[in-house]
This record gives sequence, structure tokens and C-alpha cells, in this order.
Amino acid sequence: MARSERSTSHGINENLSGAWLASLPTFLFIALPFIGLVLAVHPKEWLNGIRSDTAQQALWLTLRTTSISTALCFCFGMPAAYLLARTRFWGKEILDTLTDLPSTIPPVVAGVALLFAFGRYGLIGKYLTVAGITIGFTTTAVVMAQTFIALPYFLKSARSGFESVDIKLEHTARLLGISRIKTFFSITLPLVRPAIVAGLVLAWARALSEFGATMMFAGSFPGRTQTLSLAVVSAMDSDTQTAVAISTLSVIFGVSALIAAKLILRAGGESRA
Amino acid sequence: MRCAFFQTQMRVKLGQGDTHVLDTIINYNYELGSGKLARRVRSLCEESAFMTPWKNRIVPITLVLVSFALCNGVNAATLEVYAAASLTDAFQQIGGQFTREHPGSKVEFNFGGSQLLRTQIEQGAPADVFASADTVQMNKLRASVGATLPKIFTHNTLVVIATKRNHRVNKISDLASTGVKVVLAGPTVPAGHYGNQMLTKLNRVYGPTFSARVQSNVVSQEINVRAVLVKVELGEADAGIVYVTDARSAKGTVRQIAIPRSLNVPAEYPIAVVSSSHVPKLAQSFVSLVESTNGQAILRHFGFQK
Repeated sequence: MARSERSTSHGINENLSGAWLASLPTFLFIALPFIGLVLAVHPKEWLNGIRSDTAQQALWLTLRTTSISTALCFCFGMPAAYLLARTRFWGKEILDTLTDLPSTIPPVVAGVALLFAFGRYGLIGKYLTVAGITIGFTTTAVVMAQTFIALPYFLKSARSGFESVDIKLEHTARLLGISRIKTFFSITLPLVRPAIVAGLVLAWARALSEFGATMMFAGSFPGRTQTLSLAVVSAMDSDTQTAVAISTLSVIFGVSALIAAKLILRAGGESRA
Repeated sequence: MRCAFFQTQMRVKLGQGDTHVLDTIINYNYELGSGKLARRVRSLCEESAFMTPWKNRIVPITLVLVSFALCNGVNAATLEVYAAASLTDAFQQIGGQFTREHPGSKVEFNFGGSQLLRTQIEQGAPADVFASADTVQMNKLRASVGATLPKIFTHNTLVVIATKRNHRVNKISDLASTGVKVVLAGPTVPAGHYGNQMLTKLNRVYGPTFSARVQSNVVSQEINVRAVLVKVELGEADAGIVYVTDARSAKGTVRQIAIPRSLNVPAEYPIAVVSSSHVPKLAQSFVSLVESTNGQAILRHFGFQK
């Protein structure tokens, strides 16, 4: 029995039924909305909803933009995660807080901030406009909004991965005359791989659910900037079945992301143990 | 910070199968000193060491649950008004008037896109009054949940707004010029629905392809009419179509290009008492106030027209 196992391992006689009683509302509170969502639509209508133009356009756009933004999170995130994990320097705390910021401010605010920076009359945007480049209302804007919001999630995961690597292993490799770059690729990278992959999955899931920043910075136009979450809001007005169908699809993506992240972390843990 | 640290410490110690729980408590006493936090942690620790069986806690837990349940049913005199986002400023003022006229009652507003509000009410949101920005949403609600016979209590008209950052759009015909960025509210949002109707009407003056050329300039179908305003204010878009009342609330941050009355599409605002209301009488008196001279004066002040 699980309970007797627990009491022996802790060495005190714990009765967890109180904890069960108290946490039941928590589990129910989280589970019920999903149950309601799934029950809200008939399987046949679900299929019709998924096949609708709105859903199809939004789905492909979302898959395209989220894969690009996840790749960008990797490219931009890796050097920064390594730097923050391995070095100490003046102002590190400031940089650390800064890179966390997109995940703690309301996404709509992030969208407005992006407009002020990269919008047509923004800080950088005004020079881009002169060069003939406009970002607002384009698919590029969607990718930028997603990357901006998802980057902290990747950074956090990759950084803690780098921090957990025993630095002595690297020192040993260096003492044995292996070059710095080779040490990184043959010692460090394999060890942090699970953390990196898990970080990528989390970043992808966050990019997938991005709404506020995209709405502000990229607007909403079918096939160009209307991602799944924007399509839900837009369809909610006229076609509730499609909205529910898209919502359940997003839930499926979310569940897959969580399972993937767990499996990856578990596999990583076993290979290291 | 300190508390979190100690919690982690405790979890680590208990997790390792440390049988000397009392030792741990003594350590905490030592580390924590005798502050308020220390006393709380200590009492928690002692309690956990001599845990009472959960049966003895049924009574307090039930009491807490019952008190939660009671809290919900007390405020019977609260009126829930679901109103179109464009009514925000005017209705808040009317709400103030209402509570002065009906002491002891309280008005709570939920402003948003009419289509969204309608969906919320259909899903069981506790609305007493529904004021929509178009008759379509009102009729849908009447067909599903049911409501009293709606009355058109005010009108709103559309206006073209142009950014102050550039002068690409100075007159209505400029909306169709190549390279102009136009934002509209989405086709299912009332403002977007009216906007599309108006563009078609404008074909009469600007040629049969006018509305199609404007539509090809549309870079975004915003989720609500306020988002259109923001995009034009910031200059991200060159022009957009919003209600006169929205343009007025922008207080000079955008340029307005008026549309002749004959080409405009008046937005009709119906109001009704929702059938599922628990306070239909109070709801009806709110509707009456909106229709009264007082209510109409407030609406006019914000740019609405009877």
C-alpha cells in the first residue's frame, strides 16, 4: 500500500487522508473545465469544426510560427543560458531579472512594448520603416511575439541544466587536453540535453498558447496572423462549435507537450543515474 | 525568502527519511529565534509531530464550507448589467445615477464585445440586463435564453479615423489607395459588421470596386473596436473605422473623417431584461432609467444619438 510505504519512509505515522480531502477541490477545480470543454462538442461536429477554413488556416499558421519561434528560442537562448549559468559578473542579477520579465508581465503589455520598439514608429521600427521593412501585421510579428514570450521558459530550463552539470567533469576533460569546444560538445551538451529538450517543449507550448502579445503586435488576419488562440476568440463570436473544436485541439497540444517534457526529463534522469 | 528556505530544508530532511523530527524542530527553534514567524513555524512543526486524526477536523472544515456557500446568496439587490464595450463610459455614469435613485442596490457591469457577452449569458453567466450594440446578438439571445421585448434606446454612427503620424489618409477615397494600411473590427464584431456594410454603401459614390480595394488594404480584423483605435493611435495602421463615440473618447489623438449621414450605417443598440434574471423588477427600472430623459442626456453627452 502506498500509504504504509510513505509512513515507513518518513519514519512518522502520517495520516494523509486530511491532505487528500483538502486537495480534492484543487484537482477538481483544474479538471472540471477540461471535462466541460470535451463534453461541449459532439465528435462529428468536432471533426467539422477542425475541418473548417478558420481552424485549418489557424492550425497550419500556428504550427509554422511556433516551430520557427521555438528554433529561435534555441538559437538566442543557448548562449545566454550558458553565460548566466557559468559566469559571475557585475549586473548579472539585472540581466537575470530582465530575461525573466516577459513571463511575468501581462502578454498584452508585452505586445504594446513590442509595438513601441519594432512598430512602424517605434524605437527601432522607424529605421526599419525607412529601409522599407514593416513588421507589424505580418507573420514575422507573430513569430517575434511568440519568441519574446516563450524565451524565458527555455532560458530557465537550459540554464538550470547547465548549472546541474558537475563542472569537475569539464575540468577533467580540459586537463586531459581536450579543447574547450570539444569539451562543450562531447561532455557538457550530452548532459544538458534533457533540460534543453524539455525547455524547448515548454517554450513551444507557451508559444502555442500566446494570445495577448500577438493580438497587440501582429493583429488578427486569417492565414497571416490569426493563430489558434486568436481564432478561438474570433470564432467564439459566430461559430461556437468551431471555437470549442479549436480549443480542444489546443488542449491536446498542451497535454502532449507536458507528457513529452516529462518523458524526456525522466529518460534524462535515468541515463544519468 | 527565509521561510521558503526553511520549508525546503524541512522537506529535504523529512524526505531523506530523517526519523529525528523533534531534533529538526529544536534546530528550527535555534535558527529562527523568537520572532513572530518563528512562533508560527514552531507551532506548525509541533502540530505536525502530534497530528490530530482528520475526523476531528470535519466540523471546522464543514463550517468553512458552509460560510462560503452562505456568502454567495446574501447580496440579492445586486444588478448585473452586461453591456457592449462602446457603452462603457456612458453606462458607468448611468449606473451611478441608478444607485443614487435606488439606495441599497448595487450595479455591477460587464462590458465587452456584444457577441462575447451573449455567449457568456448563454453559458449561464448571471446577467439581468443585456444592452447589445446590434440587434443580431440580441435576437440570438432571445432565441436561446430569452429576454423581454428589446427596445432600441440609442444609436451610434461610424467614422473613419486616421493616424496623426502620417497623412496618407485625408479623405474617404484614400482608404482605397495602394499601400494604405487599414484596420477594421472583425466581421463578427458589430463594429466590423457595420463597417463592411458601410464600405459597400460607399461604392455608390466611389465606384463599384471601392469596397473591394479597401478590403485588400485591410491588414487586421481586430477582436474589438477599441483595438482598432489603439492601432491607429500608435500609427501602426494608417486608418480604421470606429464608432463616433470611440473617436470622441480618443480625445484628439487621431484625426476624424466624417461620413455623410446618407452613407453611414447607424448602429442600433437594443436593451432588454434577461429572462433568467433574479431581480426582474430592478432590472426593468434600470432599463427605464436608460430610456428616461436623464439617461438619454448622458448618452448624448458621450456622442450617442437617439
